Amino acid sequence: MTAGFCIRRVGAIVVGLLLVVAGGRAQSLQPEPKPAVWGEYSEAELAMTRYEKDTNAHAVFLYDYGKMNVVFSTQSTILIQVHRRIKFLDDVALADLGILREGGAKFDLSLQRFEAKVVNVVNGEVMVTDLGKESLVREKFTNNVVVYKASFPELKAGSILEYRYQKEIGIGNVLSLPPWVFQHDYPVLFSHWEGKVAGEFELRIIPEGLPLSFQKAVNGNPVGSNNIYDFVLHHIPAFYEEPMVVGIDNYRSKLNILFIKLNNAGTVLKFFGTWPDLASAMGEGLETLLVGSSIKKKTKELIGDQIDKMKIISSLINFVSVHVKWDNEYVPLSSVSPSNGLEGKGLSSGLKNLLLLSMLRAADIKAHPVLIRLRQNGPLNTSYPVPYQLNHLIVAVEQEDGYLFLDATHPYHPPLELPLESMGSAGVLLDLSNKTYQIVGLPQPAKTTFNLSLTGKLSLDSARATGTFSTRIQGVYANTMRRLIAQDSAKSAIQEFVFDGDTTLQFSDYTVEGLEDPAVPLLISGKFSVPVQLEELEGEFYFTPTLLKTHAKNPFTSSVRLLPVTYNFMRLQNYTAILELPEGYSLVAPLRTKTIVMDEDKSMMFKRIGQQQERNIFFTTSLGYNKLVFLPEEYPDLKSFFDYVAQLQAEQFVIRPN
Amino acid sequence: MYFKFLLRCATGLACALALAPTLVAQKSGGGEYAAVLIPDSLKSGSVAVYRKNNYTYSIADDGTYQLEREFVVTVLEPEGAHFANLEVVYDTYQQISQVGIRTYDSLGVADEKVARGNILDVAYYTSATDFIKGARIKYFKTEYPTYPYTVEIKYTEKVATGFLAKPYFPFPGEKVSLQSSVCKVSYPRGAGFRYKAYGEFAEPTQTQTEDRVELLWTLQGRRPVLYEPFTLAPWPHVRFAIDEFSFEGYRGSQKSWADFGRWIWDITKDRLTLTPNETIRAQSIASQYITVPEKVSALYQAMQTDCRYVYVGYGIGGFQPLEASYVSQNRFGDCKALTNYLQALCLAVGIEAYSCVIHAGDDDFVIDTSFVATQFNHVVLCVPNGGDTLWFENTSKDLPPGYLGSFTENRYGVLCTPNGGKLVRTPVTSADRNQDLLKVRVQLSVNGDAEVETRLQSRGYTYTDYLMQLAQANTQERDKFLADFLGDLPNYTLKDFDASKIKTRQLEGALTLRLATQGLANKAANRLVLKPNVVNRRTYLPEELPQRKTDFHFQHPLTEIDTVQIVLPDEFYLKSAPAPLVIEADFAQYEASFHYQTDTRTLTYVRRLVWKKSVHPAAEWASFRTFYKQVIDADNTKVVLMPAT
Repeated sequence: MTAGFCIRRVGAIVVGLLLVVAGGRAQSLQPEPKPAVWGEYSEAELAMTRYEKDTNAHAVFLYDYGKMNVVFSTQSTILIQVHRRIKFLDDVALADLGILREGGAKFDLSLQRFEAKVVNVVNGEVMVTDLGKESLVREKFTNNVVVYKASFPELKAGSILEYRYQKEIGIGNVLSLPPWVFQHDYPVLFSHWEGKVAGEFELRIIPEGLPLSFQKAVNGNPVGSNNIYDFVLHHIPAFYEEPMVVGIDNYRSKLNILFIKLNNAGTVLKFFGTWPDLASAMGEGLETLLVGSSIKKKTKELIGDQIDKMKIISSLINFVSVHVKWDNEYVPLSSVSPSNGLEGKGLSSGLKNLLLLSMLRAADIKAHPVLIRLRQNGPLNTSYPVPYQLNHLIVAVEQEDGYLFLDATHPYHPPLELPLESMGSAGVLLDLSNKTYQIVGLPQPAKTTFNLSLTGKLSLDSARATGTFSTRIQGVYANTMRRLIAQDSAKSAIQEFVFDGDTTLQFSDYTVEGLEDPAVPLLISGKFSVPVQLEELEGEFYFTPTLLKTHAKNPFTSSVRLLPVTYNFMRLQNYTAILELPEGYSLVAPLRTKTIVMDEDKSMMFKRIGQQQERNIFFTTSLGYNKLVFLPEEYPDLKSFFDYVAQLQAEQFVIRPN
Repeated sequence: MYFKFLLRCATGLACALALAPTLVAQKSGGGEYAAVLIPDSLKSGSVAVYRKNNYTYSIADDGTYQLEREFVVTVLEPEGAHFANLEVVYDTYQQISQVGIRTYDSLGVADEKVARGNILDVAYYTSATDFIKGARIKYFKTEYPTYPYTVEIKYTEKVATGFLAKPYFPFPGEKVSLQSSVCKVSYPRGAGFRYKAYGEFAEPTQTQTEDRVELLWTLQGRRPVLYEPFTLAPWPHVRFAIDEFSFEGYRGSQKSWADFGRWIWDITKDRLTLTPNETIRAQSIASQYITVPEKVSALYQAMQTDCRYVYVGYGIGGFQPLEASYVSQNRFGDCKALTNYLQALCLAVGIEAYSCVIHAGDDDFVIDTSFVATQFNHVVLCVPNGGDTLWFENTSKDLPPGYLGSFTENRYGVLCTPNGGKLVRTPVTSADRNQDLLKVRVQLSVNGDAEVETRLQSRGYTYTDYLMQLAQANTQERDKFLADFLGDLPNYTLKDFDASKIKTRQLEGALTLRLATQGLANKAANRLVLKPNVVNRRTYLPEELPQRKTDFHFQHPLTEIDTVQIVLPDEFYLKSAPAPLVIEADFAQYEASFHYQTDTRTLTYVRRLVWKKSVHPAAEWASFRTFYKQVIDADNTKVVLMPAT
């Protein structure tokens, strides 16, 4: 392969003079946020060694420009222009940004007018390495996907990389255009997105993610026969991934680009501009998948002469969830008939529920498909009707007072309860018969309560506590455990959920009650043995009474937080340990009762009680999660709360011979 | 319309792997693979059982070969599911054909055969720095709703590399037992074919015809192989080689390391040419220095500054480096290319230098010097320098010149010279070259909270592998580092962070921190309980292996010296300091001492732990483990602070 580039000397600067001293500390000269002119570099851009708004950033996008041009004609395509200028502030980002990759469907992606420049200052001279289209490598990624690649020469810490290209894609892609992303893994000095779209198209721009203030926001101004879109942002912070966020990518700032319809001389072709339009498209042809003699026959066989509606529902969902294989894929719809599931073939989550829907309808029960977004992907953005927000399908059965929502994806899940992943967000209900569609709220997970009680004896010789345990669990945990226990994973489920994954705790002879009825608590009891952190110091014994490692460490360690902390459901966790001391020993002093609340609303609450009654030590902790979302400004309080919890959990009992 | 949309999605780049195909089941025949037919002895402790794991090699005169693979695996638990996936990497030199996959339920009843179109065929990349890899992967992830289930996978590989590098691995991993495995190797008589078995393999049965020889290994009813940490013995396998081979027209021999190294030299020697300008530049850089180490170091640092690692896999299946001129024009290349480029720079200034092929990383892989065949994954540069040899790791922009680091030091490699290959050892490091000196000063408050000042000064690999990452860390990366480094502190708030003494291309640096921590001492009745070792407690305890079979080694010598001063609050006093402790072993030495100075209310804790590089027989594992246990206990020593009144 020959590399199509040449190196030119284009000028000279004296870098040393471009450092200014402020407050005794040398500051790197900072470029102004402004549009880049191809091949022209300011002294500040060349000399920049640090981005003052994020001094540890590995690179900064000086200019990030995208333009979409959609012309209306019989040969319409979408032209997307990209122009980017990146300053490398150290070596670290070279691995990430040093190779350009642009992929897409083989049949309708074309990359044109690629050119790039790598700019370095060498001994005060500005050296530019130019690359042309011959540097692009086109690679078959899969049978249907190609990737264009270029690896940039002369790239090093201090370099400026500038490239631009034009991407042409088929007009069919208006239905699935990627958003314009303002926020990258590196800070952006100036981000600019423009759209020039033929007036025949109706377009909607929907901002999403962390709110940012636009320097310019032109949203669909008509100019001639086109509509113009123009959005500019300055100084966009880097997007850093943080733990404990549900649907983290929803927080990355971007513009979603939504084509609503095409109006061609009075003929209107609707895209997915509204939920009804989208629902209509997604529901198209669905009715024909829901019929089949094998489904009717199987339904009749299952329900027999049963006339009780709830019993029929239970019977059908039990059958589909347990006896129809799930292929472990969450897919809302496909063109495959759900009746395949009756022949032993694995079905996706959506198809399993369509089979359930078909069977309910065969049993004359009014039911509808509901397209939803899985809980772990974050809430459905109801202002943004695009198919790829929806990745699962469940069933709504008409009730007198609303709907009963069913999900037959998981075998052995309590049949009339939604699994956690289907709860809490909104869904799009498709009434196929009446061709109506509505956004419906889905049930929120109930507050889960979890009680674990350990009663036993403390042995100083073996440094172990041994005895019996009992657990009482209600809500989401209980249903998840019911499912796992039915799938023959009781042992690992108990270890994980009851004992917080602490494998040093051994348990045996356990019994489980309440497996069948989700309305009652799940009760698990048995025997346990666990090592105790016990030490003899100067004739006395010190030990931590928590027995489990729960809340021993603060889950939040980072000093700053940019994204909210989100919990999946509210819960109350109660742990009680009752330990009988060895004969001849007594407690030096009981632990004091302590209560911590995070704020006036008791968003988080922790209570500890420690006391002695004859030879028994009682130790109880309660931790309540009473709020699901904590904003970044609440992070210091949340961190402090868990700091204090961990501190209390580490307090020790002291016992000594009488 | 929607389904067209789905189709587009299905062809999307991001969807490619997520759409890994799943199974469609339709019953037909079966029974042979019913899970109940697996003997209990093989199921116990296993997450999967290989019912069959067969290899059939057919080798040609020039070493090219065809390998027919067939394996049937019953997955007993989710942890074993990945064994039932198809993951075969191939390229121009290794073509895959006749792929067949079929699943069976727990009764051994067969489902429909997986359609070829459901097997993903995708470009194969392992890193963001892979530019041209030339490799692809055939991938199929088996999903099955219930356990146990069985998957049967067959395919044929046609390999044109001539090296015959692909060994027979009957045990694909831990917690997997083997019901049956057959390995057949057919090769031409007189072809110079060799093999070597590692692990418990009987001698193969041998049959001969007029022109061919066939070897047959048969394994039946084997329990899972237990991985033994720090082992010197490779995972059980049989390795093959053929003395003479041809690879893309380059004839070669691996009868000896001399021959093997000569072949590498032969395919490399024409790639050492620099452009005239680059030669002048090299000479200009070198001319500023007098000694060979200075000159090479200057050239190396210039390369580090100018060039970056990018994998470009052109050239005889990735064995031949890119031309030096390519690197000088592009300023990027992979390990071979960068090494070749530095070698060319050295030659341009009249310094003798050779590439050295090596197996980098992976402490448990030790090349077998008695079996000549490619066992390498990396290249470094060796400058003989009249006996005072210098070594250069060329893929790092951060290592100091002449320092290989833990990635490649202390192991065998083959130097590739015009006179043939030469087995050499890279430098051996020692405990005094790798040091962590930790100084901590704690001002304890009455409620157990504390102000902590700490300074970690590191040297050697512990600096280059660990502390040096802070030289270019952003805030998130810094926080992650601190969460690891300060993991023993219950909760802390950073007050001051000074990494200005941490630089790249150095062998030594220091981090200074000041922080506030809550609950450093735990309350217990009216006392405070404190661990004087506040930030450097060992936690790793090697597992018990009473039946350990293989010898083990300790690869990374290190000296840790910690000095912790804890100033007690006025309200508490230390009744008595713990006794000093010395734990001696032939691979390590641990010392801890405590001294309480009443007038300054200061407890001084000094800890010294020296790990030596060492090799030990399997029988010493228990004492090795005991040492670790004693160190963990000693690191967790507590003192009780009593109330003054």
